Amino acid sequence: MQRRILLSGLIAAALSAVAACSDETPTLSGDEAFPPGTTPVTREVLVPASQFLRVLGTYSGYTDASDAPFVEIAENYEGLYAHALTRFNGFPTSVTYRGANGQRTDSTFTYLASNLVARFDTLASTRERVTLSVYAAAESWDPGSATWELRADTNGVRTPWREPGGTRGALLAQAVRSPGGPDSVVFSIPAAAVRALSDSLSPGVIITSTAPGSRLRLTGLQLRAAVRPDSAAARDTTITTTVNSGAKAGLFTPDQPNPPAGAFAVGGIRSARTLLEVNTRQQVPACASGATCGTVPLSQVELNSVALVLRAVDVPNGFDLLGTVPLRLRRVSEPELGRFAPLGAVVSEEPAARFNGADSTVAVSITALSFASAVNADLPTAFALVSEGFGNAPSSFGVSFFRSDPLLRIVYTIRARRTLP
Amino acid sequence: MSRFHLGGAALLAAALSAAPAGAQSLLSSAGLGYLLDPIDARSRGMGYVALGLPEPSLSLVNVADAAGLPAAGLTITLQTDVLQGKPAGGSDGLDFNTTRFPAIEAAFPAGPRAVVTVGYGAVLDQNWSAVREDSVMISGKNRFAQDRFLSRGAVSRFRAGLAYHVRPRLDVGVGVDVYTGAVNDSVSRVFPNEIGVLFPSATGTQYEWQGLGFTAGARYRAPAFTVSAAVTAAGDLTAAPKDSVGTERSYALPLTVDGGASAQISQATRLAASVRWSGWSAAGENFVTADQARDVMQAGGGIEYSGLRFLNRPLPVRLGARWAQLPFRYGTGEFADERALTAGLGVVIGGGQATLNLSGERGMRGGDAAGIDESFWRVAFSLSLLGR
Repeated sequence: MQRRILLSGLIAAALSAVAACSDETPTLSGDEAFPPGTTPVTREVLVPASQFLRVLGTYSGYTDASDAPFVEIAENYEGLYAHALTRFNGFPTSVTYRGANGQRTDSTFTYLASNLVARFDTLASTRERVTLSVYAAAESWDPGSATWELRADTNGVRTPWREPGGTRGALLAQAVRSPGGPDSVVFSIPAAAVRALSDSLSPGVIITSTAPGSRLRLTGLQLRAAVRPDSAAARDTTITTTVNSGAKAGLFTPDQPNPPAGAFAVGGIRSARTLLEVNTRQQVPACASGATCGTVPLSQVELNSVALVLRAVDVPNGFDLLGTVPLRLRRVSEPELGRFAPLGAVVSEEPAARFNGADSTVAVSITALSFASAVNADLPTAFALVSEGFGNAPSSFGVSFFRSDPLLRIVYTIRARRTLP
Repeated sequence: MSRFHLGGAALLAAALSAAPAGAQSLLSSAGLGYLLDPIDARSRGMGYVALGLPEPSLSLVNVADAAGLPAAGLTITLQTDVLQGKPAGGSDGLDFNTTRFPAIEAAFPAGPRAVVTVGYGAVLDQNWSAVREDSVMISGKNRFAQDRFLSRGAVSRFRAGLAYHVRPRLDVGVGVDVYTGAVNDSVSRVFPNEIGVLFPSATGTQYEWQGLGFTAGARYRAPAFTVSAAVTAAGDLTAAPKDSVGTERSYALPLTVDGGASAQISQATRLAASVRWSGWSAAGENFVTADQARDVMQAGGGIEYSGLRFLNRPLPVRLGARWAQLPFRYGTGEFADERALTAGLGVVIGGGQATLNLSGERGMRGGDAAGIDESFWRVAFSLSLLGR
């Protein structure tokens, strides 16, 4: 028994020693430590569009202003005019307050002067000092079909505004948005106007800019309605309740432009998309830059990055891009359907592309796509370049135009192998 | 199942489940790798005297040493190295440690005179890596890149042998060696400041080592001394690529001659010494770069004192020293030598049914002229089980 215990202990000790040990590979450093042929060489190759790209078509009109989670306001911004319309939902039907005799609820109350708070996306807005005006809308409108010219276009009935851009009634308030100021401005709305807005038949308000050259993205509106219960003994009893913006519409003119010849469009309030045929199965030099050698397919090199390098083109009529937009490449299995070609899976995404005017570039990575295409020749090569917001919403008001001759930038490392001694 | 079989199975499981061995030297990067000694801890403690000892034992140096084993036996050796290395001109030392099983061997008596042995021993270690930094001009900007070359591999030798008790004092043995193993190279480049923009790249290459060899040995045991010799020869060691891009390479394996002797100088004291010559320059003839391999000598000697007892069990104590030439040149430096002082002890359990040997050594190899200067501590223990 003693021997058995001793033997078991020895075996356990051996196992423990093995388990406790860890190996560390001895590592040399420096160029000279690398065996011949093992120094990695990374190259960048720019492939012209003629070798890898075919533009199948640019299509637009998939969304309009009613689909957007924002409303644009502009005053002669490079020829663009845009007004925001909104109605308010959720005015109180009674108010509850704490009086001298405890808590009370009163269904009769009086509206007081109230604040209308407007929030802006400062990154997607111009930066100058802007005076914004809130008008009472003078005509009813249909949020799903209202345009700059028409207040409703339903069932084939087109009803124009008396005043294009929304028929304005009384000026209710004005406020100034200063450069570098907060991302919201507050309008003081008179009591009578608040009472009028609380009418369910009220057409709401129109918000405009008075500063030529301004363009702002309105992302939220809240009316902080102040009311005084009629039963309140104290004259200073005031209750503030928040009324959110309900139906809204963005009116603008002119319409989103089409791209010029030699360019294609992506995004904008009309959600333009461009169908492309992209052939990533390219040949690249198999040696370092400066050396002379043949070419090899991408399957025989190590891909570090493959990207579509898009070059921006000027967008007219004030529809240039402010801020950033997402760019996505979606697979398209039936490109022959043109504008009706259904979109497939996202194969690449640049979440926040930003342009600095014409000729600026943005790279849309298609590295993963290229990995797959390098080893599978049967993968489809048609894609749609789109800019999508959440759901079916447009991602931005401004549209992106790109030259039809983007570059394919391939960064790769030539396979390095040790030559045995 | 007997304790022998249980213990053997457990040890084999431990050996096979061990993590891949790390390298034992920066000199693994030179030539075909760093030469390993598939010997047990008793030999290590006596200055790497692996043959010339009188007792029947399992040895991957002299197959004749197994003659006379009274029962089936199993020996396994575990070795741990702690090293500090410094390339010539380098300011910082590199510390690392490794663990491996350099020798596993089993023997089975086949009649009153013959013993069949099978064993697996390490021959060449090819585990090492190198790093460098670079910058790559991409889209008009310099991008910081980190490169790494990693070699993971080894050449091992599977030996099947037959030891035969020819005469009362003379044992002989012959064996067949199958060289096997693989080396997996990888070259990787990462762009640590461009994560998500520039993907890392990695290229892998695998070669399988193949070779065939033979060995023969003899041992003569006189009452006061033992002499032993072995010779090992082989054909080519071939590196066969596992893909269509690599090209096959072959290297001549060396002729190796081992000689050793020991003498009982007192009732409890034994002196031993051994010497080895290996013709590694033959392998160098196939190298791309000339003059990268040489024939090497190795010599060692030690003393074993068996007069101590612990818990009423024999406790042999050993001391030794060794010197070895390393066969492959690192870079453009001079060929490196290795020297070490060794010590060890053993515990005999169950009247020889199990023997545990421990060894430790302090050594150094290379130097400024060799391009790499290393010092190391090495600890090994061997467990031998006899199934009687």
